[in-house]
Amino acid sequence: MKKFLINTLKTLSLPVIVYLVFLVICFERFSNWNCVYTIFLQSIIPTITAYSVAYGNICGVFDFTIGSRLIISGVIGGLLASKYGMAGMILGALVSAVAVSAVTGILNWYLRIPSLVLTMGLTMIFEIAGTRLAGHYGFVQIDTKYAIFGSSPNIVIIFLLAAALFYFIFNHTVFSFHMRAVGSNENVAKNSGIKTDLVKLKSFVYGGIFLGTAAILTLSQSGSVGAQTNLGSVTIVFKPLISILLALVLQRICDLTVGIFIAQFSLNIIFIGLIAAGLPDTFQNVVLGFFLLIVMILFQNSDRIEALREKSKAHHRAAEE
Amino acid sequence: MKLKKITACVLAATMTASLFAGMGVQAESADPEPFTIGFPWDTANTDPTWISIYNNVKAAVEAAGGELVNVETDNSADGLIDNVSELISRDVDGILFMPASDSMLPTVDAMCADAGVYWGTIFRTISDEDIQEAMYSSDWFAGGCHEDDEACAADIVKSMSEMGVTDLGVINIAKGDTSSDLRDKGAAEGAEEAGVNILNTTYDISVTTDMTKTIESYIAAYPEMNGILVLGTYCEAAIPTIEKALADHNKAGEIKVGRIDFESSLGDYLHEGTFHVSYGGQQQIDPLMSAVILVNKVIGTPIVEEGPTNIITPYLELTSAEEAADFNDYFLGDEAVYTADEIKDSMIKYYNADIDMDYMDKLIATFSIADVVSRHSK
Repeated sequence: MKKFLINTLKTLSLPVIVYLVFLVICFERFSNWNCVYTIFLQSIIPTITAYSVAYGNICGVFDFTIGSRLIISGVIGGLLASKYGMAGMILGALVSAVAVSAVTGILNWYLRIPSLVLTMGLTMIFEIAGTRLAGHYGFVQIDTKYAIFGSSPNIVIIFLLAAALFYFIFNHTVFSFHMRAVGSNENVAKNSGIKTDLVKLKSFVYGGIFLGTAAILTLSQSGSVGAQTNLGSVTIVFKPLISILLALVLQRICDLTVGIFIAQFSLNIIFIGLIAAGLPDTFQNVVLGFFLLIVMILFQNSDRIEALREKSKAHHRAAEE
Repeated sequence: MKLKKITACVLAATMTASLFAGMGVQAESADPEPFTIGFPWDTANTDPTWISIYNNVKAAVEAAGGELVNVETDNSADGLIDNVSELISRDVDGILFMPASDSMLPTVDAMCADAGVYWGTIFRTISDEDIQEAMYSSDWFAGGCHEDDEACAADIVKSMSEMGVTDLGVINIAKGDTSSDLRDKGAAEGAEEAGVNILNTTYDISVTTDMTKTIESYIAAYPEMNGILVLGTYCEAAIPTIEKALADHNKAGEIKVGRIDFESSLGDYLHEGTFHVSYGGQQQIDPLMSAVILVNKVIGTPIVEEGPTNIITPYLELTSAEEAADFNDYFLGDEAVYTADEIKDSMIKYYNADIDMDYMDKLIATFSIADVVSRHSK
């Protein structure tokens, strides 16, 4: 219990420290509940998008198609919303996300080319499919009456349900153990009898459920989904990917489900903090890059830092004696 | 004998007359030699503005009997240089493109000079004085159109100030882009003149999720913000996304919204009173006129005999839902803002010897949404 509490405090210290830094820099703008609440709400969609990336990432699959798949399912959800209402939007987005994810997974299985190359090519194809589906104006807009999931409290409820599902799949299924084995060493996993290609396919399909959910929330929050071309959709994956990298580092003190959210929440504090501090957005990328590097250096080298500390203590003790 | 002389004179007069008559017929009916114009453009993009740009360039080229050769582009400097190389290898007679930066132009000019290909630009001016001087002295630079981005940005900020805006959140396309930099500069000048405080500027938003995030961040970080100005963006559905974010925070209508460059959804929000002012309309006339400049040069009848032809196309102001509806119908439809016949009669010097800079300036001065509606309404 004590260890759990210490780890929880350690985990929470990341966003708290980042928040305190910006509170000192711009107290007036940052010291209000609305600001914190906005940061929390803004973290939800990227967190769920990160959940959809996480399974594949752990399996060692590098996936560029996330953004284009999100757009396709959002566009289909939007189109079906105008024909079949709320049910059309939800089912359209979820079914299309899972279907397109399954197609990606099956191609990854059978074509046997590096996922980086395959998903780059598929991204271009999916983007064109998205623009064709989006029609003349290049985007799909939904009626405001269907956009109820994008605001509080609905978005919070959906987030909690998605987090619970992610936690369950990640910790309490056979797939989760196979996924870790494949990510750790694919050849060893294969020799152990694990169907590695099937595991990767499942990572796409399970990820597709979260992607569909993220598409519904995006559609609801923005009221529209715009098509992208020329790999414009790839930018969607970067921030969720950073949060996964941070969460994998945090994994030794907290579950990945919580870690991804904490990482995303911390990144958003930086994002709004820099805006509140009046810094140009070009500076935001520099700070985000530094933040990622510092956190990863600290956590990846924690053993060495601990060893150095012990060595220093021993040195002091020896000197005192 | 006398009869013979009279007959000879009549025949000679007839032959001479028929000779002139024949020349007249030839001048009226002959077309320029067939030619091709290369145009790097992202035709996969289904954004109606992007489609209309392509349609307007195509109309101008085909008006003089030319053929438009398209290559897909990402509009980056490196990508465009590759595109120019590809088009030269396809033996085009002229190349029209939207420069990503001034610094790419000397490379393009050297490539075109080596290949003997004329080139022209759309939407962009040359800000760097050294590069401008070098390009203007090039035999292969036909010229192009651009807008007074700086003045437009200053004007829209002042216009929003008159609506009561004092604290402005700004969104713009990527830094380093000539138009983006000029619009930034103009907005700063307009803000200083009108006493408006520019709170922050976010650049290069390409997806709706980032647009929502930026607007929500502005609302959270700047409670005093009472205006949002989109100086430029390539994000699809930018205004609907901004309006949705504002509505979710009960700020729709309360925070004034302005935008440079029209988009198809403005009419709805103008009607609702949640969107307030937009300057644009240049996205159709600029590429059309730029293509006309290049075509005239390629077929040997340049609008200006010495040096490049540079035309400043005006921004139109959109403040009513009716104008927005007309814009969608007549600017974003399948037809160009001037039909091929109109272009042939009034913009191609080969067919109309009256064309010069004064003529073109007067023509541009008459261009407006109402003008296009009156010419093209059925």
